[in-house]
Amino acid sequence: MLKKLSLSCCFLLTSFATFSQSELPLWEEPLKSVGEVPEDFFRNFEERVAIENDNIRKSSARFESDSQEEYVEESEFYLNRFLASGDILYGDAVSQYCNEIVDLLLKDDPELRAKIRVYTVRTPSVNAAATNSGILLVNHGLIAEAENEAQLAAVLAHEIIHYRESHSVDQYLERERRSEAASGWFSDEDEEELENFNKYSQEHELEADTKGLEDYYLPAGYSHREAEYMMDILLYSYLPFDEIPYEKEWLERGPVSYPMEYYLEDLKPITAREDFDDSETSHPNIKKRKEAILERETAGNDGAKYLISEERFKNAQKIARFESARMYMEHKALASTLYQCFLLDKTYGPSAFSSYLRAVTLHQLADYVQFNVIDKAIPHYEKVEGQSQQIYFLLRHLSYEDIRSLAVAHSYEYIKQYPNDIKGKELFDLSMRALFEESYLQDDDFVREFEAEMREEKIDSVAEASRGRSSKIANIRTRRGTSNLLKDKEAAYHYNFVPYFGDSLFAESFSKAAKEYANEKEEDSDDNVKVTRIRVTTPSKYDKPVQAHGIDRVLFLTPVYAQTRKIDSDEEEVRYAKTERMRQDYHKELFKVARVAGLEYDFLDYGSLDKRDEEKFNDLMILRSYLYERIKQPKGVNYVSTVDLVKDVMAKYDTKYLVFTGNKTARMPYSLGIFTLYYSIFFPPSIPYAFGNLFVTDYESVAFMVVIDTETGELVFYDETEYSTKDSPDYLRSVLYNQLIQIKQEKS
Amino acid sequence: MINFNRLTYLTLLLLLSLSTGFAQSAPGYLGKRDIISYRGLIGPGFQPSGPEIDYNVDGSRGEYDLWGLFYENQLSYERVMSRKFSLRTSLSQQSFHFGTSILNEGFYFGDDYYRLESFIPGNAMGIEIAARWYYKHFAPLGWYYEIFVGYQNVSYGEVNFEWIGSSSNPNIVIEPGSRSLFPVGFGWGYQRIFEDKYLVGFGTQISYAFASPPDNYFDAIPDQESLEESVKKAAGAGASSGRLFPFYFTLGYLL
Repeated sequence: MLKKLSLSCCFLLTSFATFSQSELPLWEEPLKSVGEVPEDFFRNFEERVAIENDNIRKSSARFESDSQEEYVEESEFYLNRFLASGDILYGDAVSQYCNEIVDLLLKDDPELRAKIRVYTVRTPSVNAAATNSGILLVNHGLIAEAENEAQLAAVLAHEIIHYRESHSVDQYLERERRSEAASGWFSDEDEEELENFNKYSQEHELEADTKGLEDYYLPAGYSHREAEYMMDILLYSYLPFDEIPYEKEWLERGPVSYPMEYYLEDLKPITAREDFDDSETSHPNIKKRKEAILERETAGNDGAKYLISEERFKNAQKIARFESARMYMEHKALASTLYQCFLLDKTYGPSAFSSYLRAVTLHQLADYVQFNVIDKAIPHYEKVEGQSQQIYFLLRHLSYEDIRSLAVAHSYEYIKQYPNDIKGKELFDLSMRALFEESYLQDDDFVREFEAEMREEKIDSVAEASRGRSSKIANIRTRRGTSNLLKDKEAAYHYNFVPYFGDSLFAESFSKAAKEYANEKEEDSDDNVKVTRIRVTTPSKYDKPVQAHGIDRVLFLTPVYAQTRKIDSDEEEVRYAKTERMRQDYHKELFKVARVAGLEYDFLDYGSLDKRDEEKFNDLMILRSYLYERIKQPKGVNYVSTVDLVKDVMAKYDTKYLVFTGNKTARMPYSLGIFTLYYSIFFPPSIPYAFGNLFVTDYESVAFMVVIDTETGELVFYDETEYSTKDSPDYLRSVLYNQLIQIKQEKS
Repeated sequence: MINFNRLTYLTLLLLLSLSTGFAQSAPGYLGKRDIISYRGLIGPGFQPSGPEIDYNVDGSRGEYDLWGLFYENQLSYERVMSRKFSLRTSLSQQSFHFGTSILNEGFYFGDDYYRLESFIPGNAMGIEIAARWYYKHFAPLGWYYEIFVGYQNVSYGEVNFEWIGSSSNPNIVIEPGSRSLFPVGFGWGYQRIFEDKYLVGFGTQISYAFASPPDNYFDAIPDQESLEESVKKAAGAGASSGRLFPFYFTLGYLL
């Protein structure tokens, strides 16, 4: 267990908390890195490892050299990957603000300040981290939830201590030491060791809390109390940035409310406790941390919530909250995306950003329901706490038709409000087409006008509210009144378009889509073609059909590579240095084979950047983000929220085809070839093979290649090739050629 | 010498049609789908290393090697047909000696006793077609299994049997002859490519040519026809014995 933990120890992740100027980036202006690209992002692995080894040797003589080098290789490897994930930002308004806070905290220690670089991470999770090389990473989720600048400063001070005291190296070595000592036969001993190790880690956390407070936070002039309050932010960090009750009108459309059964009467209570059992966690519980912070006495007044600027904090927080919504979408947390948009509307007022994201989310959600994979996008509501639970519950109860029609309604409202937005029009057309093509709905399934009794009921219920009744009573009566009109609980979608049929744009689009689908159906029936909504084909494992796409030019995105050693069926070790070397070789092979296949290409990779490549750095971020969102979608879904941004980026590289590729090779555990040799005696011709088997190591490899048409979001090519050999050049070339030639060759 | 019979023409026709039909589904190695190679098959066989037979002064047979080293040259052409399959066709040649059977023990022919003057030189030329399945990687790389069928023409020169005795009976002379064999077999091997054009490989195989050994006449051959038949059978057994369990190496070039 300890060994497993050691694999993720490249950063000391601290549950703590973060930010600048510039306009709020709405959808058209996502947050981008600014200025020269720091060397951290493109320095090669060998150099990075050598520098880090030198640093550790100079700063400390505590470490065994073997363990140290092993640690450095491991941590630099994961750091390298993280920096190349496309989620790290530098020089932007938020990162700049965080850097300025660190300037304040370390104003009396310029030597230490010069060693620290602060970057922000595009993720809604509430966290921050310090690496042993002096990089502080602050998550947007943390900045989104912190209440003020002081709280953010408390987290940064905490992380500075982790770096200054080399906690991450200490913990790695301690873990290794304990892991070796506990490698006995009894798992109980392991558990005891793990508990002891957690105590060791918790001591480091408390040290970072208190020393950060004493050495940097309080001397800078920040409020003592806010450091304690920050602990509450951590306690509730699993909840969204606010707890505003969900309002059903935010999503519902048309004159008819969804039945009451679609909404939770009682929300699950929030269960987080300050004094939780921390025997199995690396961090002490919140109660202990608060106590440790309050033990430090402060002289005079409490200090300030803001030393730089409240306005800049609020701006950074706003950016982080909007970016978090984008990241929820990227990670396909669709219910969280919708609740985050709801919170953004309530906190900052309706925006084009949240309106568009809401429509995209509904469109994508309909696909998840269609393919029966809703669990991937909407976790069960019982796993959720707080006000957002309501939306999880609702989305689980809406019918497929409800969601499809809601997607159309919301995308139509978006284009009505932003008529010049091309991507909005595309989304509306796509949603409208899907309404007919991807479901069995027909134009007469939708009511064009209120029925008389419904109009009366609606008016009555509205009047009820206007007669001065309390909001509570009016809401209850309205909800009951309209929902009672439904003939059955599945029928709400029939009324979703009632408010829009009067608009010529909507009515024309609706009629056109319905007519086109009716014509298609007629043609299909004429040809006696059986119409199936979902076609699933399973290609042969060994000889898949060969594809031909006739694509001439592509853009390769940073490939992924791994070379591992399987210890047993559960455990696998990454060969860090080897992986990095092979990743470089893989690039060369990829280009060489592309040339042989006659495929023109361009290439974007963090390793090939230099400090002047700010634009390419941002292109990489947009493309990685697009890719994550696209490849996480279930089969059949192909609309990506960042489609317009990606089109602009791809135009620079003169292609619309984005290629993502990678390879993993695992060296298998030694097999008892001696048995093969023994049995070969009964079949003499197999003796040479069996004899060779004694000395030949088995490998299992898998190579994948994905090609996405960024204009349509269509996955035009996907190949996953398994092969039972090592990743030697001839094998790699053969696999790559097999993939690339299918992309290049013309259809016959 | 080789009879390019119908089988050969059928083989070539089959290769041509398959290669055209699968053109798009066989990327081969960087687009190279054709390989010419030399294969050397080596293994133990009932083949004496030379023509000399060591007889003792009393006329009895002296020491000699029952097993000799079999060696066959093959010129091969391999065509990658799909990602995992290829077809191989080979022209083969082996020179050998045979006769390590009843024939060199001496035998009664009527009332007279004869023995083989020296081991008989033979030559086998053939053609083989194999279907290969590359089970660990794409053709033509890595480990593969193959099955093959072939045709072999085994020929031999004039055979002299000398008379053992005091009178001066003439030797028995068997005219040069030939026989056909149809080997089938199964093999597996391994291939790698260097510099994108050179191929190196090795493998082993098991094959059977349906070549029955000479009949045991219990030291008596009834007539000339039976003797000729025995020589033919011995030639076939000699040629095919080495191919039973040979090891082979391959040196090739990707076209």
